[in-house]
Amino acid sequence: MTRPETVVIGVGNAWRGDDAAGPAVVERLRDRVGPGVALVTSDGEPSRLLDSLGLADRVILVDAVRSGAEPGTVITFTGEELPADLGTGQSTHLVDLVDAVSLARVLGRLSGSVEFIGIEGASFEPATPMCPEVEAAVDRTVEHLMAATREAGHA
Amino acid sequence: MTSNTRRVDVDYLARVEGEGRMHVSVVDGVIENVEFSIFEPPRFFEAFLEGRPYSDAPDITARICGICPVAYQSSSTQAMEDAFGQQVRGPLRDLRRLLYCGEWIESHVLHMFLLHAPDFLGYESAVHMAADHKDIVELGLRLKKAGNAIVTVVGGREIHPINPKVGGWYRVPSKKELEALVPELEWSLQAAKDTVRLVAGFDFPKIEQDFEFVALSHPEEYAIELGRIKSNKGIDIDVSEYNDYFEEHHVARSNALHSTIKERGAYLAGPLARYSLNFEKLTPMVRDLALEVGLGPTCTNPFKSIVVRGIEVLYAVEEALRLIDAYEQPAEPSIDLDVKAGEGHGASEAPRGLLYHRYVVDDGGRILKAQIVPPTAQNQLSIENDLRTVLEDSLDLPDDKLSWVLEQSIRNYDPCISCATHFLDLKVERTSRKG
Repeated sequence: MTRPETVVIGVGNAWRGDDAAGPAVVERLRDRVGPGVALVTSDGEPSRLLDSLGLADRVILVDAVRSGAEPGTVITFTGEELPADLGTGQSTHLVDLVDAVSLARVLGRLSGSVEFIGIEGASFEPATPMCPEVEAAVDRTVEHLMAATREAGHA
Repeated sequence: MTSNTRRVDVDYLARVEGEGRMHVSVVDGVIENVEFSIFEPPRFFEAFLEGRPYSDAPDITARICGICPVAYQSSSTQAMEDAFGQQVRGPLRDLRRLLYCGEWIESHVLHMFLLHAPDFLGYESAVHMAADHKDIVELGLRLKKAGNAIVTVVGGREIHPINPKVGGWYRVPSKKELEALVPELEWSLQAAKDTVRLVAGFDFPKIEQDFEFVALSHPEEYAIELGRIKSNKGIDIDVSEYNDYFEEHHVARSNALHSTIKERGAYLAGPLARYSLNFEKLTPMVRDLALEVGLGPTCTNPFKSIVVRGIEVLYAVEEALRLIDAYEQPAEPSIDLDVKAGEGHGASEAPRGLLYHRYVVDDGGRILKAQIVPPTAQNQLSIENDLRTVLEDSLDLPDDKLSWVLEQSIRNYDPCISCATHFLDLKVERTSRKG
């Protein structure tokens, strides 16, 4: 099996409202991308996330975020723009994406670029659906990723 | 890109499952209040299950926790079988135990290497630790994978296993499939011994607590997925008597419930409890190593939970090898169920401790009532007691160092991703009423 050029990792919990955004993007890409794009969903468990980060040279992480912006707002940045301070002092878990990416770098498991796509969520209640704004943002993100992988010739 | 705004100071949601808060107030140098509370998704799932068919219980409860789905599946399937007056035995039961060994390895190793060890080695996180101790982190990741492999082969997939069901399995593995796991498990045996020796060499705060340990206990084996509920202070009951001896209290400051032993109070579930109640049921090899590294037959220092987890990883690896060696593929993957109205109870030892399920079903097997008591709820009071003890010894520390040691105390309990804290809001308030 040839190594895919790109891996899209949708992080989130499909059972927690807008936290489903990341996995939803991956599921909606499933029948549309070619073998050059690997698709993975993650619940944030760090050791499996580490393995997924090493699957391809180009890594695209999609996750729900909570920054106070309007629901459905999509933000992007690349690995180099990540806050240098990992902020782990406030966390009792290494489940932060930033931590997982940093750990993958330290362990030499990241060979290329990392891009983050964050979809602003409104509600994270258990067993609720995504809100319409996040649904729309998921679709926009899917189209964006289709265009981006077509551009790169991976689709 | 479709973005409307661009900012880097976002609060990464990462996993929202666990949200917790700790509040300590110190007045004139005296601890006035210690509150630790966590958000608990299982409460929600109880209501969600009601009205659904019995067969949904293992699949839905497995979604509660990404780290310990096997525990939820094990307790729920047994509770349903109990409601129907049935039991799963022989190789079908052995496979449950094997799957559970995989989960213990995965969960314990993840916690020990990526979350707890950095505390003891003086690093802010596994990322910082990995820069200096890449070999240790790689050892842990490989050991964890041996556990993942068991869960994948027996459970049907790595996350949220799909094979377990009420009555047994949708599909059972062949002997050959299980034997493929053996070489890596044999490597893991040595790796687990090295791990125990490594973590036993850490420095531990000298704190001993007078815990009432509560865990499953079994006459013939180190209890994992089957046994009676016992304590070191006299409890020895069938799982069905759980609600006669334990009760849950609503705590006003959070949506969590605190569990206590009726008319007695706090108790401790988890690795320390299992080890201290069931030391004699460990294999000679595991017992010898425990004694060699300085653990007695009981352990009352919560900071040494990392050593006990190492011991349980070693046991789980050895037990997995034994179960694979003895396995003979059964002709049928499950027993025929005699679905009828009733009440059933099930308990198993999740990596973090006793996980109790109770269901009431109607004559069609529809769930009328569900009760799920996760280990972290049972340990909340013990966590608060520990925090108080640690605080008494550490009040002179500046706030950042104090926070560190308090967080480390919470990590002793391995509060899981789903059941406990991620964005822990930790607040130490020092005030004076003088002057």
